[in-house]
Amino acid sequence: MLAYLNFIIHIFNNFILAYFFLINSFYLFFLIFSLFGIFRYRSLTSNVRMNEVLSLPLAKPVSIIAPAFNEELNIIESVKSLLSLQYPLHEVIVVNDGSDDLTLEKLIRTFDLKKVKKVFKKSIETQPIRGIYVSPLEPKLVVVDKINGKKADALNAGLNVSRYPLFCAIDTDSVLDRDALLKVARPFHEDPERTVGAGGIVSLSNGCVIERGRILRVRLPRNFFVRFQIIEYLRAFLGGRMALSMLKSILVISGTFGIFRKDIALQIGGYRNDTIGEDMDLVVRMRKYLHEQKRPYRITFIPDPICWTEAPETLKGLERQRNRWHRGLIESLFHSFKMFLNPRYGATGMFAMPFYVIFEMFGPLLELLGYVIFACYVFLGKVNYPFALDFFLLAIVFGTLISLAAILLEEFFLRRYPRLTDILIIIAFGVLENFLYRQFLSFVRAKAFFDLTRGEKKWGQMERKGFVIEQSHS
Amino acid sequence: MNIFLRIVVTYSLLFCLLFCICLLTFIVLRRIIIQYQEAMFKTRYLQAEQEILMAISLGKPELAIQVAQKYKSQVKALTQVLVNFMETISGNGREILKIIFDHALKERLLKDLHSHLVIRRLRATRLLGLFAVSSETATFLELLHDKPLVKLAAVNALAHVPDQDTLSLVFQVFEKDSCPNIYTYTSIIFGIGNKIEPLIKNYLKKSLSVEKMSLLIELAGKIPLGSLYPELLDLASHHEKEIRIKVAKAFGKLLIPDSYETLLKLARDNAWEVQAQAIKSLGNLKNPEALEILTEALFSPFWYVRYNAREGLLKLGPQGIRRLEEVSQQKIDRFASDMAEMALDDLRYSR
Repeated sequence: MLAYLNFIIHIFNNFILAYFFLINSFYLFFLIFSLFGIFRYRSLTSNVRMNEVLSLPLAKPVSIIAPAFNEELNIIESVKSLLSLQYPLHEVIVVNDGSDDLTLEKLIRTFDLKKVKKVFKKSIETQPIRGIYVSPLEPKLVVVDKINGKKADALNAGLNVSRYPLFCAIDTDSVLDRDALLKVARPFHEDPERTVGAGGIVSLSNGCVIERGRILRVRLPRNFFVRFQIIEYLRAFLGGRMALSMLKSILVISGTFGIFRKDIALQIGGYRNDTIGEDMDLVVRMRKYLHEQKRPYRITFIPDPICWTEAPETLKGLERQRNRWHRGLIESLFHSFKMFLNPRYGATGMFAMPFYVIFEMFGPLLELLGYVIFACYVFLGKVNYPFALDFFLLAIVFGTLISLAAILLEEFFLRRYPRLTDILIIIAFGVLENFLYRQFLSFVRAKAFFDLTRGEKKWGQMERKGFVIEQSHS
Repeated sequence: MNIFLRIVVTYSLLFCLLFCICLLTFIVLRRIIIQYQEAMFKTRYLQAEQEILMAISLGKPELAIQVAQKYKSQVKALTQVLVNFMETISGNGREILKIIFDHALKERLLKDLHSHLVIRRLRATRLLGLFAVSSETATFLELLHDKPLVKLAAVNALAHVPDQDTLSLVFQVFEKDSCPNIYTYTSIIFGIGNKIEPLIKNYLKKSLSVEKMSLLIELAGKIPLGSLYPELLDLASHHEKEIRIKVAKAFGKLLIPDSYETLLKLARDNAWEVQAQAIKSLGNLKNPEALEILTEALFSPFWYVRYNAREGLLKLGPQGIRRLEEVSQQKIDRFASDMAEMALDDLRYSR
C-alpha cells in the first residue's frame, strides 16, 4: 500500500514538474516571439504617417459600439473620447443597457439628445429597445436605450443599429488614444479581404490624468492591486497576444477594445447571449465558422493602439472580474470544443485550442491542486525541503524573468511610463505578485469551475471611481 | 532521479537568477541611455531644423551642401527634419531639401536598397521615394520584383514622379500583379491625381479582372475624371454586377447631367446593389426629375435602396421633403413610412 502511494506521489511530482517547465517554456517562447514581432511591426510602420489613412479614399467607416450599464461616473468622458477619435468616418453608438443610475440622463443633458424614430434592420434578436436618441450637437453620436439584457445583448442591439461595415466594441469605462482607431483599423485597409478582426493593447487608466476624453499624463496608481494588474496586462498583451497572433492562434480580442467585420459577426449570429465571455466567444466562433467555410482569414493583434481602462481597486472587485473572465473562457472553449485537436481547424484546432484548454483553462486548477498536495505532503512529512525551496524559488525567479521580459518589450516599444522609478516599481510588483496575489488569482479562477457547475451566470458589478480629470486653471 | 532533478532545478534557478539580474540591469541602463539620447536628439533636431530653415529661406545651394556635410553623421535627426519639412514645404524649398538629402543620406540609402534585410530595403525605398525625381526611376525598377511590401513602397515611390513614362510603369505593375492589394493601389494611384487620365482611359479598354476594373472606375469618379464619361457609359451595361455598381457610383461623383438616363436604367437593374447605388447617385445629381423614381425607391423591399432614396429626397430640398412627409403619412407600406419619418427626424435634429 505504501509503495503504491509512493508511486502515485512520484508520478504526480513528475507531472507537476513537467507541467511547470512546459507552461513556462511556452511563456518564454511567446515572449521571444513577441520581441521579434514587435520589432518587425515597429520597423514596418516606421516612416508611415497614420494621418495618411485619414486622406485615403477607401478607408472603411467604423461603428463604435459602447454598451453602458450604470456608467454614470465615466460615461461623458468616455463618449467625448470616442467622438474625438481621429478617423475618416465613424459613428459612436452608446447602448444604455437598462441602467438604473443616471447614465442616460447625463447623456441626454450633456449632448442635448432627442428621441427619434430610427429604422434599422433587426438582424439579431435582442431585448426591446425603448428609444433611440440622436444629438444635434454631435451628429456622430447615437444613443440606444434598451431593457437590460447583459453586455452581449447590448452589443447585438448596437450591431443592429450600426450603419458601417466595421464595428469596434468598446467598454464605456475606457478611453482610447486619439489615433488608436486609425492604427487598429490598419489591417482592414492593408488586407481587406482576409482581415476579420483586430485588437490593440489595453492599459490601466487608474491614476492617469484625463482631459477632454484624452489621457494627459500617465501615472502609476498608488493602489497595490492595480500595480499587480499592470504587470499582468503587460505580460498578457505584449507577451501573450502578440505571439499568439503571430502563430495565428489568438482566441481573445479584448471586449474592451476590438474591431471586427460586421458581416462576419452577423453571419455567426452576433454575440452569444448565454455566455459571459462574449468577447472571446465571438472570436472563437468566428474562427470556427471561417474554417468550416474554408475562407482564408486573419485576426491580428496590433501592439500600439492603446485603450485605457479602469481596473478594479478592491479585492472583491478583482475577484469578481477574474472569476467572470475564467467562466467566460471555460464556456467559450467548451462551446467550440469540436475544434480541440481537430486538424480541420488548422492552427486554431491543433495549437490554440489545446494551449488554451491545457494551460489557460486548467492551469489555475492544477496550480491549486499542487498547493493542496503540497500541504498534504507537509502533513504526511514527505516533503524534501531543500528541493521544495529550490523549486519554489525557481518558480518565483522564472515568473520574474517573464515579467522582466514583458517590461523590456514595453520599454522597447511603448514606454508609457515616463519615469525610471515607475519601471522599478512595476518590476518590484512583478516579484511581489508571486506571494499571495498569484495564489489568490489561481483560487478565484479555479473557483470559476465550481461556480459554473452551480450555474452561476452573474456578471458581477465593478465599483468604479471614475477617471481623474485635469482641473482647468484658467 | 531525485538528485538529477535537484541538479536541474538548482542550475535552472541560478541561470534564471543571473538572467534576471542582467535583464534588470539592461532595462535600467537602456532607459538612462535613451533618455540621454532623446535629449541629444532634440538638441540636434532643433539645430538642424534652424540651419535647414536658414538654407531654405536664403535659397543658397552651397549653404545646403554645408548643412548636409555637417549633419551627415546625425542620420536620425536629419532624416526626421527632412521628412517633416518635405511634408509641409512646397516650391523652391524642396530643391534645397533635395540637395541636402542627396549629399547627406542618398548614398547610404541606395546601399540599403540592396540590403538582405526587408525592413532596411523598405525604409530606404520609402525615404528615397519622398525625394525621387524622373531621372531616378531606374533605382526602383528592380524593387518591383521584391517582396510585396517593398514592391508597393517602390510603386508608391514611382507614383511620386510626375512623369508619364513612370506612371505607365506603375500601371504596368498594377496590370501584371496577380494578387493586387487593391486598397494600397487605390491610395497610390489616387495620389497621382488627374495626370493618370490617359492611362485609365487606355486600361478601361483592356480585359482586366473585375476588381482591377472596379478600382479604375471608382478612381475615375473619385479624382474626378469627367472626360472618361464615354468609356464609363459603355461599361454601364457590363454583365458583371460589380462593374455596374462602380459605374453608378462614379456617375454619382462626376455629376454629369447626361448620366441621368443611364442612372435611371441602373435604378431598375435586376441586382438590388446596383439599384441602391444608382438611387444614391441620382440623389447626388439633384435633378428634380428624379423625384418620382426616388419616391418609388422608398417602397423598395431592400433596406439600402430605401435608405439611399431617403437621402436622395433630402438632397432635393423642399420638394423632396414634401414627398417624404407624404410617404411618412401613408399607411400602405410601413417600411416606407418609417424610413421617411426617420429622414424627417434626422433633418429636424441636424438643424
